Parts: sequence; structure tokens; C-alpha cells
Amino acid sequence: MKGIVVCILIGLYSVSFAQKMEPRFGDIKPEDFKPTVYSIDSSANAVVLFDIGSSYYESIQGGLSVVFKRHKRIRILNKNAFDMATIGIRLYSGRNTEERIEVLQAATYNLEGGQVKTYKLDKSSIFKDQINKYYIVKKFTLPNLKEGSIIEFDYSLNSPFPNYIHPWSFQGNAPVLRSEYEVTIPNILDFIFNKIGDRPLDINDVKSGNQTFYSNTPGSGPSTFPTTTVIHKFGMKNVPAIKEEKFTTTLENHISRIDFQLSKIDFPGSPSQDVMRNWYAVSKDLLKDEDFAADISRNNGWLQDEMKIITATASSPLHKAKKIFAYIRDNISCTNHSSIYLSNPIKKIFQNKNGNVADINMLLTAALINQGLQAEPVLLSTRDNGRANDIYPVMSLLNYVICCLKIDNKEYYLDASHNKLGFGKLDEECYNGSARLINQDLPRLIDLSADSVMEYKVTNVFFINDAKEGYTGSVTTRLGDFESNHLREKLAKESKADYLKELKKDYVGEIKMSDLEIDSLKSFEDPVTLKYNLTMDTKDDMLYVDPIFAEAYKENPFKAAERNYPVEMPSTMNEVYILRMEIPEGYKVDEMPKSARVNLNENEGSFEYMISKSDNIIQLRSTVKLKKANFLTEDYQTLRDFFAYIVKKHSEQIVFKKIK
Amino acid sequence: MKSLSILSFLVFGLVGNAFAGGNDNNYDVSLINATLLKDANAVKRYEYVRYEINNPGSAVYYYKKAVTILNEKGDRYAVWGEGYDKINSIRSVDAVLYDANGKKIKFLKNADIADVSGTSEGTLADDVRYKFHSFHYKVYPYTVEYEVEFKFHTLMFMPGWMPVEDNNYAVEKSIMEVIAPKDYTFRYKAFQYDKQPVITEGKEKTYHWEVNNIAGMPDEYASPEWQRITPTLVLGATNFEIDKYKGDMSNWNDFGKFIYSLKESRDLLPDEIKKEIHELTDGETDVKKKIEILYKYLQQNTRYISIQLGIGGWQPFDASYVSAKKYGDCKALTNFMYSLLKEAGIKSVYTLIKAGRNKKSLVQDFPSQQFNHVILSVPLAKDTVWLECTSNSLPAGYLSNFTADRYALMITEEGGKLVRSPNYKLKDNVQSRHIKATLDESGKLMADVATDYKALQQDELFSYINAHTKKEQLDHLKEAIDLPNYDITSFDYKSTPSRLPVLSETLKMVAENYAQVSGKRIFILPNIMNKTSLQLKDEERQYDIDLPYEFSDIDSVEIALPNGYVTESLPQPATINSKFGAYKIDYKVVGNKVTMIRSFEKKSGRFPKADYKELVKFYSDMYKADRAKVVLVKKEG
Repeated sequence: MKGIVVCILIGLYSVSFAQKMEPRFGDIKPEDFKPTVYSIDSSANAVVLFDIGSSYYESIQGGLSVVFKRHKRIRILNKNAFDMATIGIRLYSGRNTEERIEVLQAATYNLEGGQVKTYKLDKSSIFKDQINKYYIVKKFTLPNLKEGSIIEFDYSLNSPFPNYIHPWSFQGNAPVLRSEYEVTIPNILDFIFNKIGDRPLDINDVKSGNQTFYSNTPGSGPSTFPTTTVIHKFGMKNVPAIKEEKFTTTLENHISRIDFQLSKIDFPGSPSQDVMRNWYAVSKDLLKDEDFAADISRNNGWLQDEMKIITATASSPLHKAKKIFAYIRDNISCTNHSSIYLSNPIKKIFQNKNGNVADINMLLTAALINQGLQAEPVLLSTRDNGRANDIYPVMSLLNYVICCLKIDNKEYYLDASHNKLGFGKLDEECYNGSARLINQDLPRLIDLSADSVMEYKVTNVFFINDAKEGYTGSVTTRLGDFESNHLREKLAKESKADYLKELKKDYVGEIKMSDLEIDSLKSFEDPVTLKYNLTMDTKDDMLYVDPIFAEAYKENPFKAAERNYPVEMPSTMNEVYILRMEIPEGYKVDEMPKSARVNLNENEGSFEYMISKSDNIIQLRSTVKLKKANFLTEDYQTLRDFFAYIVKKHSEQIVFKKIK
Repeated sequence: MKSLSILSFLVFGLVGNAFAGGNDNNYDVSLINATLLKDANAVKRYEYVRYEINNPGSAVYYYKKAVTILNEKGDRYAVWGEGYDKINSIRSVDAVLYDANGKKIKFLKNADIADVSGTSEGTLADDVRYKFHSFHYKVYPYTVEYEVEFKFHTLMFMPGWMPVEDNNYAVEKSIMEVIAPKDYTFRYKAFQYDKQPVITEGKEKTYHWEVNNIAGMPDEYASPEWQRITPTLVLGATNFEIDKYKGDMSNWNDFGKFIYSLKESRDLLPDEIKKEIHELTDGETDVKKKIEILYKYLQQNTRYISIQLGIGGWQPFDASYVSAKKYGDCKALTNFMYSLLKEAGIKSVYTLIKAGRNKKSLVQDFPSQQFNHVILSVPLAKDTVWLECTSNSLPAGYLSNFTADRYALMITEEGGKLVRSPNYKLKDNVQSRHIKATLDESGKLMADVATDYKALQQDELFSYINAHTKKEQLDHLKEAIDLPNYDITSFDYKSTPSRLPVLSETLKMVAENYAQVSGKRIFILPNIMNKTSLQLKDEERQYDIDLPYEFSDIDSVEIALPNGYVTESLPQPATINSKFGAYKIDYKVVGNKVTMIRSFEKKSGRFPKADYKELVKFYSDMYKADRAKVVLVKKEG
């Protein structure tokens, strides 16, 4: 675990700091049980009546600790919310330092014969579960739970990490009537607040206060240390439950919450220390950091022999880079795709043949530099990790490292941690806004927005009257980069026969598919191409043909009628479908769809459907384009209508009639 | 003939040349017989398993296992992981990584073993932990070798031996040995192994089983359970000890006595609960009604919380504990229900069962600890009422597919008795649906859908609606139906609890563009909601076919058509009768209405592999017939 450690020079010990905690634990009245439905959400299984927390600092032997208090009361409306009565509190528990629960009480309240009956949690029913080397969970469940019960818990947690203030979620799986968090920070520390989610704060107050810390430094004896404090209070009222929706980068981007990042330490008598500095300073340090890029500027002679062999036949710098990239990708396996720091020195990674994403791409960077190429590390946050901060170097929001290679003024972004990614290709998870180039002189932002990448798919279908085989067709589909990757991953886990079976489901009735070929499955720089043949029975008097076959939009990807969050797709798209079909022998066209064209919001997307007939040939071209990957919540309906139109058009048929 | 049965691949090598653990095998990949590489993702090169019995309360379990990973699909066999707890502890783990040439390239370091909690979500507390390790290697092929020793503080759970661990997993050599004191008798039963173990006597008695060169088995649809197609050995104790308890599992009766001893005298209820029971039931004379009342009482007043610590994994919490906390696990809640019934003067039986959707196979002629769940059975004069005490919603007397149709062990003071839990048949598991719909000229369909789901056919939906709000149910309905574009405008569920429960669903549905309108024609798929999605691979079959569950579906659809259209094409009716079931679909146009009637009876059972082609055709014909379209064309003029 790597963090920025605050060095506190003076020994401090305990201080009492009164906290106003309203309402009181156990103060439950019969009328609290009255509502059976709450107006915030009439279908809720449970409602959080309040969730009130605070964080403040205390002196401990050797420094400062943070006290986190939480008092939460929940009305359980029906048995589907019984899970909420089982509570786990996660605590860090390392070798020398640990977070401790100092006070914990919990109770169930039931209304029995008009009286409030209290059932307290007994201490012997609190269990400890050692999750792994670093974390334990204190777990308990409340007794005597019934539909209609009110449950309540209250705890105080003492943490020895003064640079970490417990984050706060205003929103959860049940609606919350009142959520408040008060944070008291002594003016020797400065934090940046990072508020996430679109919902505004209902309470956002600041006031100042005073707090005296105590120190007991060996040699100089006890002394007091008065400071002013800043007291922030954040709150929300009537917060609806979290709702999951498709086409969101990660739900984490939308859950209303706040977190804190230490930016500055200013102890009296010692120079002020910028913890959160700017990217210039941070980049400089990262390049010297043993846990990040210090290795890449070293000689790394141990790489020499192996690299020489690998690049022996390389004909150009680019060719050389490709060989090095392929070697690292194919030989070093990735143990963890979420890390910005090295788990071991890169030499060790090279020997062990495995490492996390930072290890692997830092090793790649070092190997490229070792062979005389220009390469630099790049930091980013993947889509499922949520948005990074584009201005401040908030390291805790970043989780991924790639490599930027520069040859002849052209930049290539490389990721050797996925064993099926080609040279210069990134996983769709990386297209999450922007990335940061770690460069001493110009640590600039690199645009890796979903809008900057296009998924381009082309399908060609030909149908002919074959003298021997009858009425037959051939289909060739070149997939986009992301879809190619998904298919590569899929076929690494399942057989081609299973995949064929799945494709066949799209061909029912008079059409049969056969002879599936998959090209470029192993050549990762190229998109995957699927090829197969079709045969159609031509016996009936009428032939009804779905001209877009398996490529048709059969359903609207935007199924839900309502939308709460913006639409965030992984890329823009361009899907082209081209059909050229001879009219089946002995038939004539009875009916055929009409050409059409629509635009999405003027120029954000378009759908074209062009069909024509000349002599015995029908030609059809369908193009679906989205020029943007992200759409506002308000645009959802338009987007849904756009695809509804495509679905309808794609379902139209060509009708052939036998010539009698 | 290509499809050889698995037994003909077994070549039993020379025994006697007993391997100890410490041999140095050559894991060069080029030494693997080509027949083993075919269709395999991994090859177990060598395995030696030893189970050494010290006394009824102690054994040492040791294995050394080397697996060559041939491709990415085989990667999961390279990851080592074992669970342990206070009763079965891991003493040591060693591992070596070899490259394709069999050259050692890496050793396990103890610091690389992850040690994590095994407490699953939904469990409040237990002792289960897991150790994991992986070399994270990916230059194929490579070989991993693990050598592990456990200390077992009981003979209640003996390990089995199953050399073939998965499909497409070949085995070069695997040896199982049991070492037992001469005066201790253990029991064993082998499947798909046509020899007796080789027994050698020294200071102790050693039993030796061995298999060599088993090719990878294909992954087939509905293949029989593992022990019917690959060599398997199960072991069982006679007398054993666990914690401070002693038992004997030589027969079901004695094993039952042991379980009884763990739960004996744990049925004391506090007075206020006794009073409640009498208030609720004393006025009722019908025993079944009394059971229903008390089962409802249990369901309304308790909830399932799993706490399994030490012997608590096998011993229920006292009825007084459940009375105070109002929660417990399957043992505690079953024992509590038992106590409630006892107070009402009804005798019931604590019953062990192996629960799980597809976990019906109990080796009934081999008494041993094969259970993972406890339910309550109430034997009455004519029949037995079964109660699942961890459910807040199931009707009294109905068991879902979690515990239905399998052996269960009734535990009484006299001992254990193997019985069958209820089986729900083709005519019980019925889904009947009627759709009355109107289609307009734009292709929009407005439909009223009424469906009755019965017995096992209602299980999934029943548990879904019991765990979700109306709003969630609606959101789910809007996504769950296999139709391209539709909306649910209203819905309702009504449950009729009984020993064959029925769940009635009514929906109002609007599907824009349901019918394809293309120029002057309209294409309608009359089978709106029940299209089979099963398509089987057309391939050579190696194993018999095991179809576990039977049901019947009846569908009728009536669609009123827009005016001014005539039928241009109407699908042919289809009737398929086969040993797998019966299917019938019929389409008609009468007046301005299209009707469809469909029935499907799916039988269960075991079928020879030769029938596979017929099964493929059965489903492929059905797939096509279910998707047939009616074509209407606008009347001229």
C-alpha cells in the first residue's frame, strides 16, 4: 500500500472534543412506526430515517488520529429489506497500525401493544472476520427483526491515518430522508473536497472553531498546541435509492457522495508541505519514485541480452517497438488490472514473468527506452474506476498505467497487460475521458475520450443463383476493434462450435448458414473478420426475405422508457451493411422496402437505408452512425426514437413471387 | 467407431510399484501421448493422493498433483485453492512451476499464498477460510505441481477421489491410497472402476487404486452425472469422532443416531412462546391446519441468518436461542419449528438433505456425510408434510426444486431412515397461458396475457416476486420478456398456496411494431411469448442423455387483425411426437382473427446416446415451428 504519509513531528495525546449528535440513540416514539409508506418512494423496502456522521481529529501518542462517528436509523418496511439489518464495518488492520471501533451499539425497536420494545444487540453477537492480511470486518445482525421494525446503530471508529478522512455516501440502496456529515479539520491540514454525482447538496455550511491538541515529546515534556479548525457540514435530504442503468460508464460516477484528498500540511515551526501539488511537481517526483518510474531511466543492462535477441531481425524503429511490445505482452502475465504503483522492481517483474498493469507497462516503457526508443508512462482511470480529476493530481482516483511511444513524431499508446491487444490498441476501459502523460517538462493531458474512438463495422452480403448449389449467399463481416476483442476473449473460453451454434440462431426458416471462418483471431492488430455461407430454399410461391439478416437491429438497445443518468457509450460508431442480391431464378420482385434517411439531433448521428433494383440485381446499403458517445439525460428519448426507427426499417422485407 | 466409451480408454498399469510422494517426474510436454492431447485443455500428468487414518478423530490427507496447462482455457487448473477450517487444517503447501520442457522455473514462496475469509455473503459468521496461489504464467504449455498436506481432526468427512476433474481434461496417471490401522474398518465404493483395490499389509493396511491414460471428455448437453461416466471413489468411516462427539456411519441408522445426539434436548421453548402456540392452535382440530398455522408463525417471526462455528456447523442452536434472537440457520430454524410442533402435540422429524437445483444424486447405498441442508418432515397417517424452514414465503407442504425429488435422511431417536422427498411430475409442473390481442395497421400489438404457473414452473418467479417490490417487478417485466419492443402497462400476481402452488400472472402489454409492416404486407409471429431458445450442436455423442426435469406448457393466442387484409401465407401445423416429449402447434385464421394453439410436454429420464440425433432434430424442428409467420396482404381496391 502506498500513500502519502503525513509526518507529524510532535507527539500529541488525547483531547476531548464535544460532538453534537442529534438525535439521541434509543429515542424512539410509537408514532415513529406510524407510516407504512413513505412519500419519497412508495415501493421502498426500507427507508433510512437518518444517517448522520462526523469526522474530527484527536491527539494520540505519536501524532493525530481521526475519529469517525456514524449514527444511522432505518425503518424496515418488509422482509426484502432484512438484509439491511446485517451490518459489516470494514477496518484496516495492518501489522503495526489498525483502525479500531471504540463504541458500538445497535438495537431493534418493535411496536408491541402500543409500546416501543427495545432489543439490544449483545456484544457476543458481534463477529470478526479476517478478510485478508489487511482488513477485518466486524459483523453483526440485529435481533428480533420484524416487518415494520426500526433498527439503529451507532459507532465510533478511531483511525491512525491523519491523511485519510472517511468518505461519505449520501445515497444507498434504500432512500435516505436525511444524510449529514460534519468534518472538522484543524488548520494545519488542507483537504480538497471531491463531490460526486449530479445531485446538489442541500446543506453546505462552513464555520470556524478552536481545538487544542496536546503533545508529549520525550525530552521537552507535555505541551499544548491550540489551533483553529474549519468545520464543514454537508447534507442532503430525501435522496432516492441508487438505480442501475445500462450504458453508464460506472454507477460510481452517479452515486451522490463526497471524498477528501489531503492537499497541504502546515505545522507551526516547520515549512508548509504541499501534499497535493501540481502535475509538474508530481510528475517530476513520479519519475524518480522507486514505486513508479525510477527504473526506466536506469541503464537496465539486464534487459540487454534478451532485447537484443528479440529485436535482432527488426528492420525499423517501429518494427523493433512492435517486437518488444509483443514479447512483453506474450510473456508477462497480468495479475491485477488496477494499480498505478509497482509491486516489485521491474527487473523482478521480468524474472517472475508476472505483475500488475503498472509493472508490465513500466517494464515495457523501460525496455523500449533500453532499445533507444522514446517512451513515457501514462496514468489514467479506467471506466469502471470512475472519473479522474483532470486538474489536480488526485492519485487515489487513478488506477491504470499505459505507455506512450513516440516514433517520428507519431504517438502510439501501448498496453501490454492484455494478452490479446494489438500494438497501438487500447481496451475500451481506457477510453474514459483523458489520461496524463508523466513527463518532466510537459505533463499534458492526452485525450482518451469515448468520443475520440470509433467502432467501425462493415458487412458485405452477396446472393447469387448458382447453377450447382442453388440460391446461395456469402457473408463477410469485419468487426470493430472492441467487438473483435470481445470475440477473441470469448473464443479463448469457449469453442468455435459453440459460437457457430449461437450465430445459427439468427437464421431460421428457409435460410441455413454454414462454413464459418474466422480471420485475424490471432493477429491482434487487425480487426476480426467473420465469413460464412447461406443457402435459401426457393420452392414456395412467395419468398419473404429479411434483407439485413443477422445484422438487423431487432430490438432497441435503449429499452427502458425512463432515464436517470446520462447515456455513456464506450465509443462512437459507424455500422455499414451492404447487400447485393440477384433475384432468385424464376421469381420476380413483388414488393420491396423504400429508401429512407434520418438524422439524430441534426448531426449527432444518422441512419441511411438506400435500396435499388436494376435488371435482376437488388442493392441495399444501410448505415448507422453515431458521432458522439455521450448523450445527456434529456437526449435519451430522441436517441431511443432514433433506434426505434432503425429497428422498424430493419424489419422490412423483400417479397419475391414465383413467375407462373 | 469413434465414440468409445470412457472405460475402454482406461488402461490399468502395473500396480505394486507404489509411488511415494517424493519421486521426480519428468513433465516434458513432448512425452504426453497424442491421444491425451486431443480436445484437452489440460493434462493431469501425475497425481498421488494419500489418506492416512490415525484414529477415529484424526487423519492426514496428502496429495501431490502435476497438471500441464495446454492453452488459455486450461488456466483455471493452474490456480490452486483449498478451503480449511478448525476441523480440517492445511499443514503445508509446496509448488513448482515447469516450462514446456519440464524444466523447473519457479518455486512457491509461502508469502505468495493468499489467505482469505471464506465467509460468503449471506453468512454472518463461520470458520471457513481459503488459501489460494497462482504462478500467473501464460507461456503455453506449462506445468504446475502442487504438494499439499492437511490434518483432519475427524473422520466424519473423508475425501473422495475423482481423477478426471473436468471436461476436456485428460489424465496420464492418478493414484489413490488409503492407509488404515489394521483394527480400523473404513468403507469405500468405486464407480467406473472395474477392479478391486490392491491391498498390502505391513504395520498398517494400504489400499491402492490407480488409473492411467484417460483422454479428455467432451462437454455435452445434458450429460449424466460425473460418477456415471468417469472413475470415482467415495470413502466413508465406520466409527468416528468430531469435537467431543462420537458416531458411527456404517449404516444410515447409526449415522442418524449420531446426528440425533447433536440435536437432542435442544427443543426447550420459553413460556411466553408456549403460550402463544397454544393460543394459536388449541382451538384447531385439524392437524394439517395446525401445521400451517405454526409454519406461518415461523415464517412471520424468524429469518434466516447463517452462523456456523466449529461443531455449530452440525449442531443446531437451541430453540431458546431462536426464541430470543428470532433468527437462525437451517438447523436452528428446523429445530425451532420442530419444537413449536412438539409443543402443539405434533411429532415431526429433523431431516437431512442435499439441497441445490441440480444436486439430486445421493449415493444411497453408501452411508456417509453427503448432506448440506436440513428440512422438517411431518409424517401423518396418510402422507407427509414437508417444511422448508428457512423460507419466509413457501406454502406449507411444498418443496421447491431446491430440495424436491431426492433422498433425504430422517433423524429420530431410533436412528436415521432414508426416504424420498416429493417429486413433481409433468402434469404438476404446468404453465398455461392465454393471450388475447389486437393488432393495428401500424403493427402495434395490444395484448392481455394471463398465465398460470404451477409447482416447479412457478419456483423462480415466485421467489423473484417475493424478494422484490412492485416497482422492481415492473422494471423486471419490462426487460424480461423475449420481445424486441414492448411495454407493460399493468400487471398483477396472485399466489394460490397449496401443496401444488399456483402463481397467476396477468399482464397488459403493448408492443409497438410487433408485426412487420412492409408495404402492403403485414408479417405476424403468432407465437408471441413461448418460443424455445434451445438449439443443440449437431455432433457425435459420447454419453447418454440425462434430462432431469419434466413439465408441460399450454399456450393459446388469439389476435384480432386490422380490417382490409387477407391471408397470403399461413404456416403449416406441426406435430412432433418423440420419446423426449410431445409438441404440437397449429395456426388458423378465422374471420378477422389469427389463432395459435401450442402444447409442449417435456419428459424427463435417461436416454441412450444413440437418441441424440433425434433430440437435436426435435428441438430444431420446434425452434423453426415456433417462429413461423403469418403473412397478410392488403385487399386490392
